[in-house]
Amino acid sequence: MYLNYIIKRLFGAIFVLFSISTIVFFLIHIIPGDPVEVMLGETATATDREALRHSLGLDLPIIQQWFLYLHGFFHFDLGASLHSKQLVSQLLLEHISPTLILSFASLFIAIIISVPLGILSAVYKDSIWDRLSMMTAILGISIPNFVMGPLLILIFSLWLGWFPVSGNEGISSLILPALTLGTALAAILSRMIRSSMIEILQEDYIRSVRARGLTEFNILIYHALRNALLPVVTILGMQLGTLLAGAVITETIFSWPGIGQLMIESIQKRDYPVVQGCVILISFTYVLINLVADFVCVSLDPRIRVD
Amino acid sequence: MKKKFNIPFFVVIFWFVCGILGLILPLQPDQISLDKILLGPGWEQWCGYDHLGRPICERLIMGAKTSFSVAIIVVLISFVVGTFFGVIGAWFGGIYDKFLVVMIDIFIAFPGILLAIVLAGLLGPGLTNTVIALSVVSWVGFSRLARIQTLSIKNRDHIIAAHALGTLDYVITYRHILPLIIAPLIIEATFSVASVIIAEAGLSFLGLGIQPPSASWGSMIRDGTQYMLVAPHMVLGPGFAILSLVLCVNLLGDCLREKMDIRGSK
Repeated sequence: MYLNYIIKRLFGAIFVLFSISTIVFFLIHIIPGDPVEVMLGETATATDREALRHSLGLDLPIIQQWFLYLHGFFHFDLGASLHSKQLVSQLLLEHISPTLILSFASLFIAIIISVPLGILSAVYKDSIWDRLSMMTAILGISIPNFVMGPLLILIFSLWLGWFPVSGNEGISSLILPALTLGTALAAILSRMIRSSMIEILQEDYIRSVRARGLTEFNILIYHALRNALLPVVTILGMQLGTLLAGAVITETIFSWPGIGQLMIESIQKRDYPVVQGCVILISFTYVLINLVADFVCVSLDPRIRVD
Repeated sequence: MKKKFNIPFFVVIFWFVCGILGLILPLQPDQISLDKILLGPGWEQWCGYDHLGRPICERLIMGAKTSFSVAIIVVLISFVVGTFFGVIGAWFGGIYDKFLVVMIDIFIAFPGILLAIVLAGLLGPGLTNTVIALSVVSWVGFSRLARIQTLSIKNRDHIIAAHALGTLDYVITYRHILPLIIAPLIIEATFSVASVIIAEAGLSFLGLGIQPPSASWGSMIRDGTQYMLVAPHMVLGPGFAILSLVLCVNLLGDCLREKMDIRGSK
């Protein structure tokens, strides 16, 4: 039963990944815009262009190109950059760890902000604290990262001089980008935790636990929060994907040398194989995270295992 | 509750009127005055001047025009297209529905803004391409919602009765299903306006959205980040504009949701 569920989900994920890579491939090849022209400039002769197009395999029929691409895809060969000639897989490997570090740091920030905030507003529901923290939350959702980022730079780097403006030099340059990415996630999570906690706190077993004379802290953390986090895990999975996508903009603001920056640069240079690689990597991570979130949910709550 | 409803409403109306004024007034947002480069806010010009000596106030108004036109067109397209496919899929079922579900699954398995960035990047900057890229991304939300809503009311008595009477499919979907599912879709549209405004500004911030001479809040912030130390007003103006508009649209959406009693709140 459980095994069936896992296998079904795995096949679903593989199908989705295959479709995404196909869609991305055709999008990139159908949309006008010639990489050869970008590489050689407008003054290049027709023969030079033909030669380059031939050496890159761009003169083949598109279906044949697609089969070559799929063949490489299943052999973990994503091609080479049109510009630097570096292998795409190698480029991705170089850029993935800064993005991962940034994502984990923002996740950490999001959790340490949202869990206390969510619990606080659920326990003191409709109080001034609840209103205030939920107002902060909707403010956090509404402030886009390309506004938040420059604001943080302005206040903490330029006026106060606490952190460097950009770059990747140790922990001090990590804090501002992680804050930029983390606050939006914190806002969404704290709203989720609040509504989930309010529901749980009305359950009968909470009353029973309270009747047993446990401390309020014990009730909240060990009995209520554990169950309240269940729906949050699913949402967290989906939000992590959004976090990864948001990293594209945040990395550009802070010149953080991650996947996002690599992707934007490659889009501007029309470096197709690298763009493809970045998109596939990000969606792969997204699908994987959602899969893991589902499995975590199922193992936390066996009631979900239907059909 | 009432108090909360009014302020956001007026802020949204304010920016909307600004957008319309941008259409009517003979503003000169591209007027370059070399003697006023990076001049801060003052009595003469409330929001100061940018790095080319262009008046930021007038550019903010043109930016409002851009934001609203993109948001309204994109939400309208995705609302109509998404709802159409969602209702069709749920009503006819079978292969249509299977295909729709697969499409929805694929699009949801992909962070929307990422697809928009790639699409806009490949199509090239410009208003039309931005609208295309954002519409491709945002129809899915409407489709999923419309499908689920239609499925949940499909077997109600009056619809079965209409079907039994031989009413045409399009009449049933248009007259009997659509009015019942429109409320949650309108709320989705409200939140969608907020996210499209953010997405458009985000694309323009990355240099993939609206073309440089025309003003967009996103590209104004992009220009401003290079002059932040000497002219913070270049970032603060458009930043505050986006923040206030998106915040108020979201607050309006929340209020609408409570008013229309979607989640059955007590």
